[in-house]
Amino acid sequence: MPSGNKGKHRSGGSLSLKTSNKMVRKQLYVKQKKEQGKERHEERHRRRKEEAKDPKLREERLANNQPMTIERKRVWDEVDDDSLGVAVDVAELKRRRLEKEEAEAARLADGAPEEDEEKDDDADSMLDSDEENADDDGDAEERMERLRQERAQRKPSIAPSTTSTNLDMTPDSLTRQFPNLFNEEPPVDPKVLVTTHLNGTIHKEAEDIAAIFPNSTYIRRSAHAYGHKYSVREIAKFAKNRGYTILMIIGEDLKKPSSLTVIHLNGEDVPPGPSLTYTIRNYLPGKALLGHGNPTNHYPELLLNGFKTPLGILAAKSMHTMFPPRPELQGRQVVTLHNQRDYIFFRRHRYVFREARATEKNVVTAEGKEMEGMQGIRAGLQEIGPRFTLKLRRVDKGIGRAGSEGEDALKWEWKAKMEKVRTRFNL
Amino acid sequence: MSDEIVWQIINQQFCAFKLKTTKGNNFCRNEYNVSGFCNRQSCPLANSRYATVRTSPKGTIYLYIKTIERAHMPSKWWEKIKLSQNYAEALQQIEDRLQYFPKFLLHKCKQRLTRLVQVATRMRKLAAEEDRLGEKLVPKMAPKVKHREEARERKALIAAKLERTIERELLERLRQGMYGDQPLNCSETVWKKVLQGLEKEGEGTRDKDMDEGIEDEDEEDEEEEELEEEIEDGNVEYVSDFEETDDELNDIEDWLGSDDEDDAEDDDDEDDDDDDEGDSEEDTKKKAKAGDKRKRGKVTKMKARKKKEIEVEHETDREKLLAF
Repeated sequence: MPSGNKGKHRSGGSLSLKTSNKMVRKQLYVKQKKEQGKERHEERHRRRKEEAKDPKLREERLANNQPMTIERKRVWDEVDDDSLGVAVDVAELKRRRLEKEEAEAARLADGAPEEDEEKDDDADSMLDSDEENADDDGDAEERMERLRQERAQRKPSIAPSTTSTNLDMTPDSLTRQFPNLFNEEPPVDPKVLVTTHLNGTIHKEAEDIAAIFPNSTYIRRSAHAYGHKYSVREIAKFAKNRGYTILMIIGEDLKKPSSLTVIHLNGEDVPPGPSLTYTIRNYLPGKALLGHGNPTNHYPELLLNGFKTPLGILAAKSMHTMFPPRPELQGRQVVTLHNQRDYIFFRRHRYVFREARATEKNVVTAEGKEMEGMQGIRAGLQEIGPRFTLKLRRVDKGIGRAGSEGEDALKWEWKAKMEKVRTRFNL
Repeated sequence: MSDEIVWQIINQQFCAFKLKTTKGNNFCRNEYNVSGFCNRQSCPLANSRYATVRTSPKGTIYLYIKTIERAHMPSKWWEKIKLSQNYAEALQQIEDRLQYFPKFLLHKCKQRLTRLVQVATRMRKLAAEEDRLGEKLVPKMAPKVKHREEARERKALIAAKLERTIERELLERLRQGMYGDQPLNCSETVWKKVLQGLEKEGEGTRDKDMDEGIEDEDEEDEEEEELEEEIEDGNVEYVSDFEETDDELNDIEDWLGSDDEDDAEDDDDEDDDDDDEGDSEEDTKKKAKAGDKRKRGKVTKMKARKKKEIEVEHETDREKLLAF
């Protein structure tokens, strides 16, 4: 009956849902989908054509539509303080202070011409746009305004800032607190002693970790179940006497390395310096990596990326001292410690500089532009050896929690409440 | 007499402290029980004359004595006597106090004292060992925190783009010349390409050479000579002026050299302008190298190379160079 069919038509729905005939419904659905996407598709097609003719348009479009990442939204502590535990961008802080000083100087000089301050192209990638310049007046203010406007116009980068940490940027308070770590001139060749926690069973992994650092030895913790168990403080004393510079203790959980404590044994006359405790996650030995390579004895190059705050600089410097200062470039090995959102990724690679294959693009800088002068050159990487993630948990003044004395025995500790704000990072 | 009645009730009817086991033992849960069993002799409720040894929460050991005289005052039943820390003295104290008590109680109290003292000693030893070792087991992370961190780590890894970053950083270093002007980690062809690329971008200039074949040979020779000269000269500063070094101007190539002189001077100017770093060291080095070149009077690509912002790498220098 004709009325029967009409009864099945529901009001308020599209034809592609209402039609009872499956084949017709299918076709209608396809048609509907096409129409929905038609506008967008045409727009994109048109844009593609235009950009093929004029690549600048594409650049502009990309520059205007940068994805909002957590790195861009990063929140800094609004204080003029550079102690440990304050999330302040050290470079920014320095620049702000310089600015203040310049403003002061300008005020004093009373209108003397002021040079443009050096614009570090790399450092502005993590801009926080509010600059605090409380003591402005007169010409200085105008100049500041101008500078501020210029800076505000610079667009933040697409990719995370990858430039190596400039360890010269350490704030003074840090150098004062840890003189042994920061004033090592000339840089000492490190000698690393690796061991585990009491009753440790991860000997293989610990040996692998020891092999990461040239000039290192791994020693088992307890030789015998009933033997005298040396405490960490005692081991540190012995190691110091024998000329070791770093003592590393690997903790384990369920047969996997779970924590790493780095204790800096300083030279003569100086008590053992800061100990940094990290937790290890996602430990993968070389064998587990597809297509892995084998390490050689050459001293690797070191890459420390993304350490911005005073705490970050401390960690970076600490890791810097774990490796020999002069890398053997002919070994073509690189160790990367990349900090991203407080997680330090450790990787080891063998690299080679080679010409780009036909299908490969050119390398792009952090800002998104192609690297000048490096057309057609790429670096091939082969991963070696273990990879893991570290997260800094505490910084003690002496040897671990038990071996530190004084009011500031515990320099910094990770607390879960620090992670409340998703965009605030400590390193 | 009343003790008997109490015992009858406890034994036959009900005692709140009694604990029966399947093996047929009766235990007494009363804190003042000296042996721990539910016996006629050991029951603190059914004996109006009784003695025990107990520790306080802080660790001091006390002797508790119950006498018939106070049987009607339950709140004052137990007389608490602090025993000496010295084990032998404490034993003597017990003997004195329980002189006229049944031998059973005396014996049991002494046994209890011994055991408590041993336990206390052992605990102290363990605590000291823990203290010496200084290693504490860190409590496991709350699962909520663990999951949160796991998720964040995963996302951070993606955001980090590690391989790209590493590649970019390495190439950046190569470009900025941190590996020296004859990098050990780079093959000749690639290095040449890099230099060419840099020239194109205007960060270095070089001379036009028409005849590449011969130049190559010269280059190689020159490289060797260069190296030798560098080692010999060290950090001697040369003023870079072509006219000064007229000694070896006998080659045909020197004619080409005159072109380069202009280029060289231009380059120097450019360099001075371009030199953002303002490293005087660098300048003198450059000039020194340039000077070396001119002295020898040969002119090819190598010269051009020198004028670029390339430094011999020392680790400390590199750090200073690295931009933040």
